[in-house]
Amino acid sequence: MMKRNAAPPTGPRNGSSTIRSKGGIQKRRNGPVRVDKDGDLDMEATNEKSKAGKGRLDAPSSSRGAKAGRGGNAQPRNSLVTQKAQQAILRGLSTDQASIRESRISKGNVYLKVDGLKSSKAASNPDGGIANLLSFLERKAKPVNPKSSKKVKIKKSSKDGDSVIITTSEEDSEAILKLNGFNFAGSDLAIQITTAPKLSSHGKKGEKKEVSDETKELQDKLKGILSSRYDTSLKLLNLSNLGADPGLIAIGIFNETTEDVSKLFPALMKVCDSIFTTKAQKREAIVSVSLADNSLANVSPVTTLAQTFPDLKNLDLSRNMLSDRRALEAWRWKFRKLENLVLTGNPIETSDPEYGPDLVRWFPQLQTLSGIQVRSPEEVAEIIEKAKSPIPIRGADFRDISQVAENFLRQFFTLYDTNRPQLAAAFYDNDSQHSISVNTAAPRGANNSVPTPPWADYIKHSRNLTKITHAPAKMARRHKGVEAIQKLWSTLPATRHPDILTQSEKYLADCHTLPGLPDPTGQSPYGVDGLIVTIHGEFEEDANSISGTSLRSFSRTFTLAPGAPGGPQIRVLNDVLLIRAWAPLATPTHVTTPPPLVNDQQKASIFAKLVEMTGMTPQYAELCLNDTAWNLEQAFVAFNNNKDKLPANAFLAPGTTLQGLMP
Amino acid sequence: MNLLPGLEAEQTTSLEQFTKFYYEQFDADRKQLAPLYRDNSMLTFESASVAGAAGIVGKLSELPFEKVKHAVSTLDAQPSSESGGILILVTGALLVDEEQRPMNYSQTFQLLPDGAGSYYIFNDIFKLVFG
Repeated sequence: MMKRNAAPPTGPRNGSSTIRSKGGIQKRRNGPVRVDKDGDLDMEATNEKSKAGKGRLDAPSSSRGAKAGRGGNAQPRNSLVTQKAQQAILRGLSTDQASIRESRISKGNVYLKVDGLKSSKAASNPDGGIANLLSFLERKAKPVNPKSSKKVKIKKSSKDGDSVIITTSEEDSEAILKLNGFNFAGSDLAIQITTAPKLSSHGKKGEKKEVSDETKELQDKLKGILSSRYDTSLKLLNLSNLGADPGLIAIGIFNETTEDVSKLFPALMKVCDSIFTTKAQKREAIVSVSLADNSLANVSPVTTLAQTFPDLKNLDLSRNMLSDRRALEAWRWKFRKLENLVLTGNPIETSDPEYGPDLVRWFPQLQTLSGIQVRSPEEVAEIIEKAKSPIPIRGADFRDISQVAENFLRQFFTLYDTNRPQLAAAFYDNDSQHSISVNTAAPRGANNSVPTPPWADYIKHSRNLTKITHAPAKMARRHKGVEAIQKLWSTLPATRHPDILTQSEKYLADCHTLPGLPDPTGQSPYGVDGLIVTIHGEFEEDANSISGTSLRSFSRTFTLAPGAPGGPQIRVLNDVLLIRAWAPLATPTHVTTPPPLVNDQQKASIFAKLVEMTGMTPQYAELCLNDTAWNLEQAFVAFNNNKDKLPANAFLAPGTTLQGLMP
Repeated sequence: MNLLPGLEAEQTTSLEQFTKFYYEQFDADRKQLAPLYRDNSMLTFESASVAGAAGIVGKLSELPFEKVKHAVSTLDAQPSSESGGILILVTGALLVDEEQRPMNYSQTFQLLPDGAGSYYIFNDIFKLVFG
């Protein structure tokens, strides 16, 4: 099925192992799973089946391959849904996906080969002693970090001849390796690092048998149904009105319409997943999906669509029972490439008419919602360009009191550059604290070639508590009191900060009130209000210049509070400075507010007004409104800008009334 | 909740525990961070400010990513008030969803004692510092 729409042969069949390993289905199993050769098998079954060791699939796959071959040489990959794919289906997607998440977050797995079980007394146990061995290893291995409360855990185990292959985290593997030579039930264990276990062909065969004939038959039927619902030229998978599908009724899935889509749909998606081996193939083959006429009250029965086709561009949900935006919430933040969504004929149009802006926000590339343009392609391009960061970057939130923080910052950087003793005297007193830490590992953009000056002047003062754990060092690197702070500053290189007034774009500052700060006069037992200021920016140093530039970036948090009598009026209580290699500041993401959606009734009224205001014919009025997303004001502006260019027949004959024109 | 029992400002092991706990919880399920905040807490996330534990967790839950991983690079802290507050500045790298490029972030926490032997987050100011 679907062979005609096979993607150009850019996928696994090209043969290089690096490309292969990117295959969609395999990729999900990059983790500790042992089936990462599936894609290879598929491939070899069609093209390279003579490869040694993979012959077990020859018989079934070659016959299918031959059948598929009729469709042309470039195609058979898609048509070849072997038992391997069925295994993939049966194993289910959810576990695979869980394993990606795990592998993204954990450091990665290590495989250890453990020998010695066979000669141990435990070998006579019913399970060959594996359970005893594993619990022995978990119990005896001491975590590498003694403070860690985490116990050593073996994630997976398998037998490879007389050896046992175990999978653990990198950290745990170190602990287990220390058990090399330990005596287990009368036998000395030999433990060494090994490569990922390969399942023997015997093991695979056994697994393959788990696919029952019945399941296979069902899979094939579903494939047939999907195939009949696929439009090659439109790249459309039409899953509309599934309940009326004679094939599905015949299978008994829609038995007297009692079963609903939620049972069937995930199975269909698994079949789809089994057909495509790479994400690119899917993206190529299926651009549009219709789920119209499925009586969906919300999208949860079909939510797996987003996992199977995350890059979908067009989605038709017409004539379902979706009654508010919550019904679509399961797909919020999914379908990041969706351009066109159709909700026509759903109760949402009347029961939740203001749904538009939310949906536009949920789907960042949405251009057309139920036939109405909500973003122009240029706006989408801009969003893609600017939203390189998935978190929208916003400007500053600066809630100052009587410009205290603003005045402080204006003076601070100028004085820090020109006269540090004066700065210390002006804003610091004996309660002030200051410390510096250096982040030498801050990520930088690939295009950032600004050299990083040496850290020597700062690193000896760096109070990065993830590295400095010795109590006296921690104390020594926290500078308290105006003298200590001034002494530290006198050892630091001279700096030049951009002028905060003329180059404010080089700073990003937030400011909020902060209650409960110590009252230097001792009059208010609950403390006084101050400010917490965070500021990010950059500075230069002449002393550490490398080929003319010596930029660094910083983040600095201050707490400011009223000073004691006789001291600074406003004092710095805390000054926490962080320095890192230079990188440009994040620029705020451009936020577009999509035009509100207009329903038919509103359209009629806008339409009538525009005709009245401009005297244009209905055709021209509609063209004009379509171009301006049915915004009357914009339409009128557009009309005024272009009216000289409009042909005479764009205007109604004098005296024509709208009523006369309306059908 | 007893987040940081017996914490003294200079006990960095406890501060490290705090940041470790905070980010592990954030990365695993940020909706569960509510116990770390109180009704008078304030979160400034990319300059959108919200107050109160419920509002803060609501804001965090709404953030447009699913998978997130923080890697802390630096941590520095100072006592921030006579009543035992702690001001913490963390910087590190953030990876979200399928994004391969880590982003620099800076996060300032102010912890205050809750009067029952634990601390809560009074101020939380998060910023991506370059894009």
